Amino acid sequence: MTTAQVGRPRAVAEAVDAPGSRVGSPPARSPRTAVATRATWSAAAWRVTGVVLVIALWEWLAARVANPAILPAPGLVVRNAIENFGGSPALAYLGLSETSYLGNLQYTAGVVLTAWAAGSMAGLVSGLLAARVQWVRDLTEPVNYVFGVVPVLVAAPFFLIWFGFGSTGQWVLVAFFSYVTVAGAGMVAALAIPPRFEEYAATLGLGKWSRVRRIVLPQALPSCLAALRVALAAAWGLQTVAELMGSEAGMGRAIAVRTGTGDVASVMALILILGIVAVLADLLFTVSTRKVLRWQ
Amino acid sequence: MRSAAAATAACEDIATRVVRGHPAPPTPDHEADTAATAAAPGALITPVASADGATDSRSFGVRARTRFRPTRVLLGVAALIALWEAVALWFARTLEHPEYVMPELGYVLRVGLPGLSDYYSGVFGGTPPSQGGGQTVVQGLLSLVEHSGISLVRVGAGLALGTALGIAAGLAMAALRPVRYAGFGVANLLRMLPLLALGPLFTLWLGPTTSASVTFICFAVTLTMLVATSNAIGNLDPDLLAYPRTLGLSTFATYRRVVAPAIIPELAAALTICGPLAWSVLLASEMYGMQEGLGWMMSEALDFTLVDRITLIAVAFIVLNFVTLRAMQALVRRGTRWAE
Amino acid sequence: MAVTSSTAATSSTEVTTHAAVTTPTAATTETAPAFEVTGLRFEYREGRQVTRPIDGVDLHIPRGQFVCILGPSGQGKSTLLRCLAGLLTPTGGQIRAGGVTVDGPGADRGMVFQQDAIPMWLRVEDNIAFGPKSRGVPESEYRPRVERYLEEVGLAAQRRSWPRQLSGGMRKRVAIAAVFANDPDILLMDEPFGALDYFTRGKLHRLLIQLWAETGKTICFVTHDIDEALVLADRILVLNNGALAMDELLDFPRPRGEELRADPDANALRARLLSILGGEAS
Repeated sequence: MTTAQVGRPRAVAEAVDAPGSRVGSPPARSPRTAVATRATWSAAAWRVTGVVLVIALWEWLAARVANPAILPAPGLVVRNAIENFGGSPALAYLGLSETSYLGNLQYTAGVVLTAWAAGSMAGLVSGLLAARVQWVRDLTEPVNYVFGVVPVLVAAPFFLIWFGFGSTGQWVLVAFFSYVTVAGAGMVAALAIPPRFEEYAATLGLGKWSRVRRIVLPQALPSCLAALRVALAAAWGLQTVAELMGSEAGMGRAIAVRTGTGDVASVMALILILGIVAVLADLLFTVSTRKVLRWQ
Repeated sequence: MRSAAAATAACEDIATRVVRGHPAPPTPDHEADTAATAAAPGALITPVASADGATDSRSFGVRARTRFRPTRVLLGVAALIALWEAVALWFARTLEHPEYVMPELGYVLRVGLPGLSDYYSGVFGGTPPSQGGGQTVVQGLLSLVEHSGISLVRVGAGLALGTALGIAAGLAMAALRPVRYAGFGVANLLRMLPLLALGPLFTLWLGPTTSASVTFICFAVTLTMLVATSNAIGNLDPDLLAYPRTLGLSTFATYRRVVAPAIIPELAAALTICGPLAWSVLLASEMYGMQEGLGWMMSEALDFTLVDRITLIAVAFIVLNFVTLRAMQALVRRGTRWAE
Repeated sequence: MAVTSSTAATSSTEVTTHAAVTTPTAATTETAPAFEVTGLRFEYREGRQVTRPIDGVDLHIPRGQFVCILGPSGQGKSTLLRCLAGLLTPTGGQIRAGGVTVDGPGADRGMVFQQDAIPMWLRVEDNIAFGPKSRGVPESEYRPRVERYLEEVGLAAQRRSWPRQLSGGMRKRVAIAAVFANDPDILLMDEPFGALDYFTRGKLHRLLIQLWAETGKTICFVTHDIDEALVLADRILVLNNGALAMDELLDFPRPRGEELRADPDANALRARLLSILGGEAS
């Protein structure tokens, strides 16, 4: 249920059907469209204003505190991010295997993206099948039920011990998390499909697996893609925490190390970079799946 | 008769969503397919929800769906535990130190439980190992109680503060257009940051103390509830907001008396998610840099890869999670009784 | 015009239709009838309460007939249709379609539902091709059919549209075209036009009759609207209290329109139907 679609269509339709709307084809730019465009522009303007205000507030606070070790100014943070991006003597000094922000970013992103993709795909298949094949559901439900409620983070120590404190353990953790998230959403979505869609397909002569492929999967896909998006957003944080607990490289490791030296500016810079990457990944995901969701 | 501009503006006020919320879990859409015949009361031809041992009335499409079978789930859990035991026994035979990988459950209780005494501070009495005493089962349990309590207090405080702030902020933003857009810009920005990665920052600012944990949890819950509240208000029927205005209610009164109660059912889902969210954030907060709490215990045990102790702490964590979830669900149910 | 009633409703009686101008000729006795229903029973339980919407129904529907099933709400007509479709398993009795025992849904019995059941993620032309394409029918075989029905239902201009962009009536036309394009022997329609307005329904009636006349398929059409039944049907069945309360052939000439309102025989029939449907809903 992406919010951009909920609430608005009905209200906008109401505006169009309101008494006073003209019957017949209105001109290309009716007064209503003009008002709507103005409204959208002012919304964007206010959004930007909000961000600008917060940054300004940050600047002011930093100036008041006047101690970059407690609250560095925005400019300082950005400079830190840029300077250390390609190579960081501080990180080298502190003994990281990756000595630049970029290097650590690549490590983190590599684990997150591959584990998320693999886990999500497994979850998608598992979830959809669990909605239609009883033994699959019986097999997967205990794990999905528990970890649908309990944070996957509690399993982090186990995975790190069993698979090592390096990228393998982290990979398994993120993949497992993605699997649980998508499998849960997939099963719920597939169970919620009104029966008449499958009945219709059956009266056209489609067999069971054909129906799963051509009705259940496309119908459940929007929910699954939403879950995939949520899983990706959370995976960055999960991976970071796993790295905090002990890793040879990664953004989390860098954050841990810089926290140890009390370098707030670096920590904020690293988090900022992570945030930007997370947003870009989310944007990429949304854009590339837009075509699949055109029909909604 | 509203002018087109006013109508659009009104709809904009209510219905334009600037912040993209977390996709809510899909709600089952159980419709009986025989819509026409369902008009007569009690005349469901194909009851969708039928008890186990179903009659033939379940239609083809419905029969295809799998069902939740509690007995099977419990069997599955038992099977997993049995699997653990089997693997642990195999490790016991092949590894020199099986307790560092996967100890048998007997070992977990025999050695792990007293071992937890190491984390006991003696606050409930007795002489813990940290003060020269020995490891005992009682002290192990007490240590669990002590640190669970600390974590529980942090979660509770964070949840209470966070939900209050989040809902209040959501309502305030919905009422005032400039505040809304400005606030949403900020909220969107903050939501972009990977949540769990922010832990060290709070610890840096507030020290390895309870305040850091509570602030961190509050931050996460506030953001979640803010988004959920905005979505809930946006999903309201516009007439619900227009009607009180036609009666002459001020904006504040409208929000206090009409909007706030009306959105509680929709907030229910978000509220129940906040429980596990708070625990997740707490764990992330405590596992790095704290000196007490379940997460601290976990990271201490992790430093020495003492899987037996980690298992017990994890069980305590899971139990607390379920308890919190049930508590939130009960609270929500009391608040939504009018909607049933 | 006299309305011919069938003789005593024993399953072995061949019901002959008086051929009106546009009704396709009835099947000969060699080919198996569209439906042969014997002793049909359907019951279900809700807690301790047992309900029997169908309790002993015998039915013989020849090929090419347009049958309307009327009945009070919740009295089993949808259940009957779904049993014919194979979506429900009857508690007792047997259904044979085209000489073959019905054991689940199949491509020989296409269905149109009241609520939209067409996939929303397929464009109109893909929707119409959905049935044959998914079953592996070669494109050379189904493409001409898809094109033909796309034209006939009047959606050629919307062939690349998404269903969400269409009105309710247009989506119904997609459903009709799709089910015809799959080339079933029998069409089952469960109050398909119930959610549509009067004028749209009228247009769809004319479309349906036209397609029926061209293809000669058997149609079983469930409705609670007496006027709709009078306009469409060769034969009206009324299901009440679990059994057939009426089984009558209609003989009004086609195309039928507003003049049916003035026809005394039609009005007599309408009155009889009203008395059954309105009075004895249990």
